[in-house]
Amino acid sequence: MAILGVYASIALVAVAVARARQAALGSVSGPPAWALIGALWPFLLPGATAAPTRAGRYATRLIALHRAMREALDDPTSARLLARPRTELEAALARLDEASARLADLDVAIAHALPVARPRLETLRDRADAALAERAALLEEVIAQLTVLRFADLSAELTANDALSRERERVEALLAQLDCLALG
Amino acid sequence: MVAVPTGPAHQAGPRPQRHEPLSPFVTFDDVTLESLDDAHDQARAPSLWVDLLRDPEAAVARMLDPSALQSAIVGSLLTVAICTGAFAFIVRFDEGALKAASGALWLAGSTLLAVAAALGPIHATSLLVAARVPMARLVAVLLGAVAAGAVVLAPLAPIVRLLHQRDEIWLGPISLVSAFAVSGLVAGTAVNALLHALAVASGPSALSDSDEFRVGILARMAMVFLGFTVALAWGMGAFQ
Repeated sequence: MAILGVYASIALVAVAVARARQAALGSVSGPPAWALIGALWPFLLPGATAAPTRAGRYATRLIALHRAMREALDDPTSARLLARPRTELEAALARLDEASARLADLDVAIAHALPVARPRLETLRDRADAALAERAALLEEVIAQLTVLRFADLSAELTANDALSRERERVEALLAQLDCLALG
Repeated sequence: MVAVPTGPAHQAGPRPQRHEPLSPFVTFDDVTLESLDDAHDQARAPSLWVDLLRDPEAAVARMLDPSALQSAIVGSLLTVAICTGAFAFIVRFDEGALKAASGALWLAGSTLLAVAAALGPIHATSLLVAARVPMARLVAVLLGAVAAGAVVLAPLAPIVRLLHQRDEIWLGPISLVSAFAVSGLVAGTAVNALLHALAVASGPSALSDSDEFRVGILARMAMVFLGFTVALAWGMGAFQ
């Protein structure tokens, strides 16, 4: 029985801590969520008090991009497919990471903002979100094209070389588009 | 000749909005109109159980997504509670529904407490071998692994009960222990696979040899602690 008392008192502390933490982050849940956290605090408290990750809503997509790019660039055949060095592609992906972190910061700022400033911040957030989505989609397309090139190159002797060079030009055009977006 | 696709790359960019012909029985609402393909895709998205048992990378992707983490944890919690409870209920049903229900509560509760008790030592181990797992993700990984074991445990209940009815001195106890052993084996494999997938998905580059080594140590120690606490709970909780 004593151990149940200990569990219940830690549950009360857990609810108070989670509540303070969520108030600081600007997101507040309802009473059912508090009851759940109180009842199952060994499992739910770490998640409720964890620091918000900087990755935000693009986290899984960016992780998949990182992995796909590693796979595409580690292949020895892809080294001579592109005129650009590998570091440039990686820098483009790093810029996406930064933009995603900035978006997450903007989300936190909106949660804390005064009601007067909120619509303007939300417009800014939506614009940054759209730009990030477009750049991520372009980079995904670059990597998909690189994959096509890798497999096309395996039998490059058999195929008409102009198809290959057309693909390469397409990748270069996509990369140029990506540069414009990043600078603009 | 090698066919080189000339269209835009597949899977790139958002899916174009498509509208199927409107049904005369549905009020027109352009905003919530959902294409049949999307509804089909959503219905076919694998559930947490399938991800845990078949595709650790997809399960880890849920855990890395901050908005899906909490629901993955609650889903695993419910899975563990329902599956272990159902196992104890079916196995002890001959002793009366009330006793079976109390056994189910005991087994579900003690399994969850055992996982909670293993969290601290495993987190400490991860700090000692310089392979720190954030606590929220560690909770999700351990609960996911135990949920995978519990999903396998529940369907074994009728076999245990039948064998127990046939021979309660030899076959019954042996089948009970074997069911727990099979479940433990599945959970142990899942811990290993989930921790590896988490380590691979968290870093931008591939795991080095020393990373592999430390993740391996952490996975084995997680299996040891989890096995110890869960075995204590199962031995002392529901089947006394």
